[in-house]
Amino acid sequence: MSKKTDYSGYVYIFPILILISIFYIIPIFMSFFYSFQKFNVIQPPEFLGLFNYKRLGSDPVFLASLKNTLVYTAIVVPVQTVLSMLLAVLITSRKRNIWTNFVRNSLFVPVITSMILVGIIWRVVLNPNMGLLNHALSSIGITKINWLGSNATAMISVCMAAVWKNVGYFMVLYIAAIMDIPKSYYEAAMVDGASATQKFFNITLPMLKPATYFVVVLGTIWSFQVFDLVYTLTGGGPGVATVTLVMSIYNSAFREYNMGYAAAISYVLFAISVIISVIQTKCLKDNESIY
Amino acid sequence: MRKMVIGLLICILAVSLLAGCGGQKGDVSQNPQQGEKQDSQKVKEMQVWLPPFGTEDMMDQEVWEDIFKKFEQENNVKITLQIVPWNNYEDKYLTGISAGQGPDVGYMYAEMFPSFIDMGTVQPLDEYLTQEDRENYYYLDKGIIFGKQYGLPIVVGNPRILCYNQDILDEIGAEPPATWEDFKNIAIKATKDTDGDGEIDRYGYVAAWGSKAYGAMNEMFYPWLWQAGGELFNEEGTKAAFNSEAGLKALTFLQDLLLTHKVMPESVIAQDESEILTNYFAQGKAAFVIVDTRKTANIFDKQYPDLNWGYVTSLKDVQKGTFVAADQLVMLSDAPDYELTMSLMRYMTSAESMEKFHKMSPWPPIARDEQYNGNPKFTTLYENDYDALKNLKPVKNGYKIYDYLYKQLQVVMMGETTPEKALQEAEKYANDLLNQ
Repeated sequence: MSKKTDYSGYVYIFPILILISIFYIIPIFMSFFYSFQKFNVIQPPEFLGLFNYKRLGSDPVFLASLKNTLVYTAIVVPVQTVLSMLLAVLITSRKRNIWTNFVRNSLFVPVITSMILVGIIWRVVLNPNMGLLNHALSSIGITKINWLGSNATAMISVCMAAVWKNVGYFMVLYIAAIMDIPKSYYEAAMVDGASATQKFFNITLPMLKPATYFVVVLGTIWSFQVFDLVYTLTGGGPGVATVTLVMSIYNSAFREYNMGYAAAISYVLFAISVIISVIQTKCLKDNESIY
Repeated sequence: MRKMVIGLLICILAVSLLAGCGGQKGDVSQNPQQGEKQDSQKVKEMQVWLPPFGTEDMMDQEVWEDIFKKFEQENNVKITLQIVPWNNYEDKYLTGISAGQGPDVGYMYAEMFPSFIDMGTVQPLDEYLTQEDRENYYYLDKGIIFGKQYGLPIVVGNPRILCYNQDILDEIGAEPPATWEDFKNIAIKATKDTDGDGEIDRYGYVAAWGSKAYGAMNEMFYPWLWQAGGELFNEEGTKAAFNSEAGLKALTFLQDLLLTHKVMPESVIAQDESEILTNYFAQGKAAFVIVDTRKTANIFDKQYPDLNWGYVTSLKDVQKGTFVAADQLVMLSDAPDYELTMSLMRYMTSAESMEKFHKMSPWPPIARDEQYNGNPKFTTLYENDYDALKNLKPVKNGYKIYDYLYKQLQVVMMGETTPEKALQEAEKYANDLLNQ
């Protein structure tokens, strides 16, 4: 018996399909087109071939922003993943009471704090003379560090602020994932005499793989898109120490009015994000489905 | 039949979506009566975009709307004023103009001109300026860009001056400096551990090398470069000129102040202007700072009335020189009536309008028909030191060039490169962009 296809579903998705096409799909193709053009929004585009892409190789600010973005991602993603997982394990291992709720909520506060405020708070924390961090370090005999004033520490400072901001969000994801692990696994392990460490490495960690995949991929995408935190905290300085790819895109588009060049940088960012996401998927996915 | 109904539904949805995106034009066409009414009144609409200069007492919108009333009545126009915040100021112009919703009269600073002229969005004013205008305005020459009169200077002032703490100078028995050598010697003497805890807590000089925007060079680099006899670009604006003997001398002097003589706190690399003003100079913890004249009124006089400060307009090495803003009114090419727009610009810069504007934001007069109503402390500055006041030359790709130069200077101040290398690097970068 042949089955009739029901097309009525398309009616329901049609409005959102149109909106997604206008605001997402078409701009993706348009920006690819503009990456080969000289375009300032006001005058008609002028074809430049590969000029914008060739220019990237000799632009010291772009090269620095590429390096900084990769360094930022390489620091922030592992640190926030491990830290949020450990915090989630620690919180779920305690009985839920007023204190665990307080800790859980406190760790989530930075997530809902505006980025401008995060920038201001961390400028105060990192102030070389009156900052909380240097004050704390001096109490254990470490001399003042000019956190935002040197190439070596400016990027670390930005990473610290980013981890502080993001860790609460990923911790909540991990808490939800830990809650989903069947208790019977731990009971069986207890019967077998497994230690807490063995339970963590043999039950919790493998069972958190889908959540870890999500946290790593999302964390990587967020890291590649970092802009507002750096913009408010350092403005990309000192020198080019913290300038990022999205900052380069913003400056090219809205300071130089060079939309073509900005589009070319966007496509480099897009290519890197895709490559890294594919690698992460291959590494974390194994042979079976993670979901 | 069912497929037809579904197809019909999809068409209706598509049409309603497109109608939704149609916006106001559709609304207007559906309401012809309203259009007829507007035509019969013949009230022309004009848009003016200005940046904010107001204080809490007198806000810009209020002041300018009061100024516009007379022009509106006399010319039967309705002026819509938009105060555009300094943050993302240029973005607003770019997006507004590209959407066909830019102003008739705008306000631009030097760095904005080349790009907007290149895009054909700014109209030259040469043919609309009368002989009377040319005789009346003081600074018309500052509005000539690439050989044409693109701007009508409205705010020429706010020079960067070297402020000193009189109490500190009195304590070390020094007179206000006149030369770089005087300045360096006083700064070294003023740098001191005043409370005896083994740490320096008072410095000779502070400068906000941690500022995020390259505009900070207005205080921190250009005055020194000009005083050493240097220039940023050649006369035509086609080649970088800062990598010169003068540029090197200025940058080496600044680096030595921080790293060799240590008359600046190391932390200045991470601090912005408000931090250095409020944490150091205003607290009596620094002898010198270069700052614009508006901040002396808004910060020193208002918030720190006990601060005993004085100023010199400029030090002298080879010559005197310091930065002065020269911002201009512009006529946008999309303005429908150039004569009327020029009349509005002329009215906005008339003595009558400027007196009201200068009550809110005290700048020196821009034309001969207005008296000086600014801070009396700076009267002599404009009378005696006018030749020392310089503004930036608009050049192509100015944003990238200034931004990269500033980044290189920051690296020098961190001691992570030499002044020679930094200037060479910035010069190469600038010339590549200027030749594009």
